[in-house]
Amino acid sequence: MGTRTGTTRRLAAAVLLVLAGGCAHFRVAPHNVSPATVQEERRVRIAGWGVQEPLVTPTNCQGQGMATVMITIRPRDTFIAIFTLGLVRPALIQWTCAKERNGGAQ
Amino acid sequence: MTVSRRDLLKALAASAALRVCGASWPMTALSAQEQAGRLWVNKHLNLSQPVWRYYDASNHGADVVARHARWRGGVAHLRSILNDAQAAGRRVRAVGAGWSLSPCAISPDVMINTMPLNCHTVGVAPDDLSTSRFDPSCIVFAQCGTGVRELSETLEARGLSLPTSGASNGQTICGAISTGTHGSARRVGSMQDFMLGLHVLAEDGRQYWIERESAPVVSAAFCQRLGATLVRDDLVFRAAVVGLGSFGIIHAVMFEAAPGFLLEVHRRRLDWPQVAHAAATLELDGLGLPYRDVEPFHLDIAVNPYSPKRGEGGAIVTAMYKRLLGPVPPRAVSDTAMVPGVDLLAMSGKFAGLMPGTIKRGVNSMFVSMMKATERPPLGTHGQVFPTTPLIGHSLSTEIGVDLGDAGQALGTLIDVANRYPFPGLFGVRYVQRSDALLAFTKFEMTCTIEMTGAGGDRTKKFYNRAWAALDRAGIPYTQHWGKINNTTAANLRTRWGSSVDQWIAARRSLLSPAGRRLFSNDLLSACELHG
Repeated sequence: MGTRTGTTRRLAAAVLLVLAGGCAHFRVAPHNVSPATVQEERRVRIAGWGVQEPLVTPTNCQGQGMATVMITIRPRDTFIAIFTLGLVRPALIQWTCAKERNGGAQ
Repeated sequence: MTVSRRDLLKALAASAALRVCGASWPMTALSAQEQAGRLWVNKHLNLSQPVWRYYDASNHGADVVARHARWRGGVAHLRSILNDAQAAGRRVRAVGAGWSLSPCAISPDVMINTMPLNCHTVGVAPDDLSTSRFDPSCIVFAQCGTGVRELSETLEARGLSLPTSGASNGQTICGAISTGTHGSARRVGSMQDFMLGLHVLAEDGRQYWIERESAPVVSAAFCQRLGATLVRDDLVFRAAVVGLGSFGIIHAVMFEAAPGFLLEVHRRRLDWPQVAHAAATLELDGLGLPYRDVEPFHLDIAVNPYSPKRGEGGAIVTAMYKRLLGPVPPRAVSDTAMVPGVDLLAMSGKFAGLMPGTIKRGVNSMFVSMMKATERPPLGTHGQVFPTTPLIGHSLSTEIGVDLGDAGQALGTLIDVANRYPFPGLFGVRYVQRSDALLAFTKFEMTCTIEMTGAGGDRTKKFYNRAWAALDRAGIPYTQHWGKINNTTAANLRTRWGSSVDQWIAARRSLLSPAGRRLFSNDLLSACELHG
């Protein structure tokens, strides 16, 4: 009985530990666009049930647009959103800038 | 877990305060590390490095350059970075797509992101060449940051192709060759093997064009236009082409594209005992491949080390046959797809560390679904068959090269280690002919490469240590891929590469001054005592 409880506890702990690292990711990555930069990121929040929203304006892309965009919502972010009844909704936005086609030669 | 009333009030108060502050609040400032320098992280998330100065190289320098020669701006920018670094007494590393899992491209001083340097031209003027051995219309001049995917797209639009590449296409051309990236086209070799020349920027503003003396390519006029000193030397070329980023910054490469072709892909799931003989000898009769008398252009084997018995389907054999270029049936493209999650590998790694008893079952069930998951078009161009991987996240990989004659013993040893100490991963077996690059890990007449790829985490790292130790105990000679996790140091470097090590060091000394050797060294080079 004791052994079974121990195993159950270990399993529960393992599942919790694993899930605690699990985030929801939403990715946008067009075909045939290669990244020119490493990933940049900004942690952002929506306030007042959407009265104010973040506008991320990447300054490092130099007019080339983006190769990838990923929005990440961590378990902690969901937790904050629930406990503030949606007043504050955090997320992480990450992006890479697109390469210029053939270095602009074509 | 609960939130106290105080925490709730804090959150509400903070929110209200930030509202009052206006629009500046929603975006949090950059982290301190990014403000102080930059925290660089590689593609597979197993390496991070705070960097004193991190540069995005650019072709849009101060120099006004013609549209067809944008690369000149890149050269000017790279030279200016090198001058500044040398004046500051700092070491420099060029980094491409960050694909390497080893610290090859890492420096705490100066790192240069070369990805924006992606000018590439197909076809050169006849007077650019010093020989009629090559068709000028098939000669490619590509800047270092040009991606394998970009090259495939450009070449395939002209009815040409890369002769070979790695299994995926995310690397830059210079990152790929500098670490010895290979495919499994066993008569073609590795990516560095089809290079013809390298444009290198070194210390004190020097520029070199390096090519083989035994296979000269470019004319003096070409070097003059480039502004580079011509270095025709077989040893220097063979050293610099897998130079680990230590022969200066390779600004551009030249290679001959292959005529375009299609690959007909066949994949079979078999039991490991059915495959073991073929894997160790390349006698393929027992595999039931579709064309018995035709040697496949490409052959690779995925091995599940936890299903080594008959009836367990522990191997997936992929054979590809070259076909004439022709129309390719259009593939269905969806704008939304479900792919493996970003955290999947990290979570699997954590779970494996906590519950090692579940690893074999987990890998077995994943391997069963793998055939469907990796289904590829039966006929496609090189670029289509080796596409972009949607799998990102914290993964680990190590890869050894052994002589084909030792492949059976090496695979048996590694399968045994995995069953005694399971790790959340699989083996990939491929075959590559000898490279003449001095430090290429594909150094055997026919090198069998065994890749052990797994989810990130301590369990996988510990497995790698056990695997290398078991190979050492068994006395199996092996090399390690420079771009993957390895334990190559000065203590074992000469055992693995023999006299090629001293030839490599001598070639580097002949090209670079002591100041240049310091400028283009890093901790990996020092650990291997290759820096002097």
